[in-house]
Amino acid sequence: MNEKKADKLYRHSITVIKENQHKNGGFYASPPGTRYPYIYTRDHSVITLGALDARMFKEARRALVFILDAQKPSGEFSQRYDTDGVDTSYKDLQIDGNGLVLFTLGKYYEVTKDDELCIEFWDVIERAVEYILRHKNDEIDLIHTLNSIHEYPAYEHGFEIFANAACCAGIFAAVKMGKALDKDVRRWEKEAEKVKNAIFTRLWSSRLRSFIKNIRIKHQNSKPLGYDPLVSVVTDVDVAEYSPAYFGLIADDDLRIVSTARRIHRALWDEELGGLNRYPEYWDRNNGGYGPWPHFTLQLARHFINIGDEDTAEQYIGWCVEIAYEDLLPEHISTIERFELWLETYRNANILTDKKLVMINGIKQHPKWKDGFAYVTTPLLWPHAEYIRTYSLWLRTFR
Amino acid sequence: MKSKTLVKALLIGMIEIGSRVGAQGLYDWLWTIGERLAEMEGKGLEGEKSGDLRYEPFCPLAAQLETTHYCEILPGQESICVEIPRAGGADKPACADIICVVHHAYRRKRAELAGKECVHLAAKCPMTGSMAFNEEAIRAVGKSKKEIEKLLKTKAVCVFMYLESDEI
Repeated sequence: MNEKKADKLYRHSITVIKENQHKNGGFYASPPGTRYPYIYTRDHSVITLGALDARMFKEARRALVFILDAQKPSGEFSQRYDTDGVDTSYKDLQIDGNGLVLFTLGKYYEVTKDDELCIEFWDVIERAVEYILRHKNDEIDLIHTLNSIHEYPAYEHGFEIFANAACCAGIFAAVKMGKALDKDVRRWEKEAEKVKNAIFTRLWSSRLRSFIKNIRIKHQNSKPLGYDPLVSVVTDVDVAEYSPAYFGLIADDDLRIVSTARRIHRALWDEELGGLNRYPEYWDRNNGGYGPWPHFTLQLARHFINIGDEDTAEQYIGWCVEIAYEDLLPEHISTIERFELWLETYRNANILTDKKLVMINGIKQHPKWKDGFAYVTTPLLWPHAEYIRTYSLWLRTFR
Repeated sequence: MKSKTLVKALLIGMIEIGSRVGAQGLYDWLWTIGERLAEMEGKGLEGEKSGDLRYEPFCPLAAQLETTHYCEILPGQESICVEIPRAGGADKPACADIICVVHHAYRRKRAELAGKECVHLAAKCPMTGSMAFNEEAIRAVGKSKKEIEKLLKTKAVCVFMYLESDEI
């Protein structure tokens, strides 16, 4: 890995995050004028974690105040907001957002012990936890969602692993904060333990030696579950299957995570381009062309750092350093051929929306297009946040 | 029972309410439903931007209710979906379909919670494709009907605008 370039990318990632925080506290998912100039709860939370890692405590606090203020009356955090914290969602429930906000607040609290913030927003925390628990199915002790990390209901509607890991870790974070503030959080703790246990049993396959993606269930309250109209299990490999470790529910050196990560590496490492794909190509919905995503590559890089596998960690981080264009990371990259294949299928199916046409324009105007690469949405802040977290861990571990 | 029974129940409910209390009573009932839903959801803005106009490329409510489909299931009574009181006023919906009442009340209330006012300028009926314009609202915001019609013909099924509360 070119360490000089890696270090420069770290410093620039901090700048990118700083420059894309609106004065009201929200972090844009991508800068104004690009594809995602809104505050997406999921991206915003991860970017806040990046800011925390870079010791940008004031910025992290402002970000948390922004998102906590934006909670809906039901306790839900929306898919996305405008810079005033007004809901501008166009997708259905993605309950991992609730988990992520609580998890991020918990991480902030661990570092800062900012009692004042937690006391001010304790009612928000309560509503967020209760909202999650209202979506828990007591027959299986898992949280039901319509969308999750890929915003892709065909594979995520049901009891999905990322949503469950995020929500479980989020409730545990709320429990920790509650205990520190002398609140009675025993019921929450008991419920979070049940969800954790269900993740380790219901969403684990001994035969595959891997966590699995999803138990497809249409209705949260289908009883018994076996009679639900969607009922089926998605065992295909998805990078989100690493999420129990991503959210600290299980150690990276636990054999279940080691073998899950190995399966992800074997199936999703892109032999042509390098980097990790997010799920199998045949799942489709490969906007801009199938290809590897730096933020997922960086998440798994942390696993390899944590188990002391320096070579693989460098392979993963080094790939991100290599594909950064002018120190900016894209959402994902692809090849012209894969891009054209995607375009053909979407055009034939008559599902190319105006937004996709804007995205296509951006891809073709990117300087890397002439080199044969499709760079999709550059920069995206999420990979910059993951880079900050991963590179600093790599420095602390190996240097 | 099939999974769409509840959706059908809502459509049958609309027909029943309409025949019992009349079109205005149905309109008021649907308006209340829209506002109650908005209060539960909280402040929010929707639609794609086209300059200072906003539009829906498809109607999320009509898509869920599958109006066309259910009007086929309830033969002879589908007129309830299009025969709606054309209440006048810039604050009223441009009613191309009875569902526009729920949607406008919902969108307007959510905008109000966000400190804005929503005016509904035009809509296209998902069943017949006919267009409805709220001429008073169009005049109030200083737009031309032609501009809005163009949007409806090219990419929108519903055109509206958000204003700061003191702009109208």
